Amino acid sequence: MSETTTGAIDTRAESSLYMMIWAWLVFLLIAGLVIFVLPIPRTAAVIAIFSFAAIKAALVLRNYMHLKHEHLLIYLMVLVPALLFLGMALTLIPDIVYRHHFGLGQ
Amino acid sequence: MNVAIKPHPHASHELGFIRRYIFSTDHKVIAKQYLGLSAVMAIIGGFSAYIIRWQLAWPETSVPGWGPIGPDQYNAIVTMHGTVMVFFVAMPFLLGGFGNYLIPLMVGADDMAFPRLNAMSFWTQLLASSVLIASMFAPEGPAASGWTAYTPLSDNPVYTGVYLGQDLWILASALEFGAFLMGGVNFITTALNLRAPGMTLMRLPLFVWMEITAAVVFLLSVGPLIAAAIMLLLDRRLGTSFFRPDKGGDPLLWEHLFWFFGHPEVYVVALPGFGIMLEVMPVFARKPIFGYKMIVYSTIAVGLLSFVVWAHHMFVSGMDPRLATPFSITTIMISVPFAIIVFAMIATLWRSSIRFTAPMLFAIGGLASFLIGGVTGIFLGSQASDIYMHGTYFVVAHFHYTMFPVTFFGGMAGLYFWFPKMFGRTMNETWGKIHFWFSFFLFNGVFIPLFLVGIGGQPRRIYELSSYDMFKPLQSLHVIATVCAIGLFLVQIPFVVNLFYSMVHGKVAEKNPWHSNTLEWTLDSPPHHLNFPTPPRVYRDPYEYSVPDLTEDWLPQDQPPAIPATSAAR
Amino acid sequence: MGAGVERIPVVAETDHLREIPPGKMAIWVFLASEILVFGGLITAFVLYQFAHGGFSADAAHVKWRFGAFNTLVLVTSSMTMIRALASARANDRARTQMFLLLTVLLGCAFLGVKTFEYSSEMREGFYPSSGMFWSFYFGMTGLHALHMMAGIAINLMLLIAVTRELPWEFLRRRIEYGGLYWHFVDVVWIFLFPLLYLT
Repeated sequence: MSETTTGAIDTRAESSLYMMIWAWLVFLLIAGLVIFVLPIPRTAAVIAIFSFAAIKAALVLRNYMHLKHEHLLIYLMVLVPALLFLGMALTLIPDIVYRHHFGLGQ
Repeated sequence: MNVAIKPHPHASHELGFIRRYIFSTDHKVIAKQYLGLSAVMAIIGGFSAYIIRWQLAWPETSVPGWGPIGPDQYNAIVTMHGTVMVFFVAMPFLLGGFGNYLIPLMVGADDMAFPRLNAMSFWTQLLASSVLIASMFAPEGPAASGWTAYTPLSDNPVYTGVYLGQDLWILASALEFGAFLMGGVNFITTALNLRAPGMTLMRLPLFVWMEITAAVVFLLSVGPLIAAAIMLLLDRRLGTSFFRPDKGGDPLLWEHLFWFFGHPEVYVVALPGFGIMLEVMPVFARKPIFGYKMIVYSTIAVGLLSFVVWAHHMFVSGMDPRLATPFSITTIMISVPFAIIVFAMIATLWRSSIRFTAPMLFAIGGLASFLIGGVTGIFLGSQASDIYMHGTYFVVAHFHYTMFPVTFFGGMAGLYFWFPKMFGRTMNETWGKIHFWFSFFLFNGVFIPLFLVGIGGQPRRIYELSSYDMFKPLQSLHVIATVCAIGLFLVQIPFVVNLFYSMVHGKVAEKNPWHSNTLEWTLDSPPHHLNFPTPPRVYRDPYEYSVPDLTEDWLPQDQPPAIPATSAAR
Repeated sequence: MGAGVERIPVVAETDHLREIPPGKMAIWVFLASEILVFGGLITAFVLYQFAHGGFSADAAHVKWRFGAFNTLVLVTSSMTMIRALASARANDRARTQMFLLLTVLLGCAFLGVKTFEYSSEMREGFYPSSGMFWSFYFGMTGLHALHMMAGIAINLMLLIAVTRELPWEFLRRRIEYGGLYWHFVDVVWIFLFPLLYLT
């Protein structure tokens, strides 16, 4: 996978990996839709659907965006914003969610 | 290996005037363009400050050079003052100007990693500035909802009566963020990937560290505000209900998303200002910087902590009180790494042979003023005292004491210091010292009275307070502040004359007039396009001054260690 | 530089950072801030959803079958994009062109379906001003669609660059960076789809 190699590379193994990942992505999509359609308790369904989404995102990030071959710094460039975003969402829960629930805002 | 494609070989830069000075991709020219743009915007920001100050001191009179001020116009002018000074003066001056000029020179690169992206960054910033100036001529006047654009004030045009002006304000801010996104990407990539051989991370000049941290903090904090700005624009133009309380939206969400960016923004401006002071001080103290690694780690700690303090701007906003205590704690925590940086500066000066040149005076003056801003920040960071002080002039004085020293004193220190490198001539020292002493005393004369006015309980953001009897005794303090402010503007006139006179008639500068160590001083003044004729190699730390057993008291970073006894190991 | 100089190592620590190509570094820095742009919107959406006790009444009106189809289209376009890179690495011009063209076409198909969805929702009377859910629905998918348009434009430029037979070294880097952006837009949709259509 070296970038500076000028000669042709045997990409068959690489391409079959990409097709495999694609098959997994489609499978997870369909699995999520099946869970959505079936009469499963809502909370469980939502958790399952979002877990599948997270797995799909991880598959794309690691393989298609080849994070698994990258320097730690580039890994951090995905992790830190993701953590910041989660942290921000959690911090705002008391403010945005509770105030509305208890009618404190208006 | 690390430079992908180099389109300009050294021989072929016989460019015409326009390609060389206007649509240039040379980081040094772009830096000067940024400096010029921020100077023009500073005139607008300064003039609006003058109008505000006059109105507060003598509310019944019409402002000379402008005319009488009504409450609507006062709101608009305060909004413009804040927006212009933070986004269109401080950031282009410290990041666009000095960052662009110095990062490639200090790390030993030929140019920025992406010269054309860099040029695009400047032109986007110019467009943003033009949009903001255009908004001042909108039918109902410019945005009048404060530089923070709090919803629903900014959301529903009914409240301020401003329709187009507010939209243009959002557009101008969005373009400005775009410009600095491009700039920030360039800064980080250049400083990390284009370092000269031997320029390890722990040999980077501290200014570069500060600029990278500022760029990272900016890039990571601006996202939520971009999202919020899109939501605000959709609210105003497409009738969505994100921040509309009457349609189930929550105005507090805007404040959270704004300050998630707005507080890190303080450090985006403060860190480069501190970086300049940190570069200037060891040169004129003739001593190595005290605790280089500690400063680097503290800078990173400041960058990280700056993301978890934003709600201290919102203690009185009606947010959930359970959030207040954690944010008080983090706010007080962030002063620890910053204090380490300040102590390192003081320890660098301790028992050194200080040369009080103009840049050194500005650096020390900036540090001293910033200390006042930092210490008063403790009062505002803890919720109990903030609830009393938040709506008063105390806050105004506090943030001017943090932003002004880093932007003005830090920036001026940098300008006097690097002027020989930028223009090949030296500025007049005597006039520089006069400029400093008058600016220093007049600046304190403007904002110390405002602390007192604030402790006296006078609310900010109100255009006319003379009708309240209880504030009558404080009026004389406002007059002092205004007189000093006018003086502060007038003192800039000799500076501007000195600046332009020195560009043409100043003493011709040699390569290294201050006997400094970093790489930019090994080049001609001013450096040529594609800075380094031969790629530099770095052998030592950037602050090796007064090394024992040497005839000279400085040791440039690219000087090979010829004498084994004075090896660079520290 | 004298001979004695060489005894002291110039590079004190192994510096892997410098080996990252600048373009890759830049695109990742850009994506890092993009994560937070969509992160801000998603945060707002999720919090409002809890605050308002769910949007299921409104969300019942969006057509999840179209959304699912679009997810399939986008996931497939990601696969064709990475295979364009693999073909470029094998110096296979014809296949690189084919996969890039497929990616562009799939992107256009996504936008076409999206346009159809928008128009049918508007025909039923749902506009961005029709309440909180629709504010988010149009705001988030609209921003995503803008990113898609930018991605399609980038891919078209790459296609032209491949057709003009620019050097492979140059093309590989550009296709890789364009691909990183394209996959990122895909990842955003992977989260937007269940958020807006399935909850």
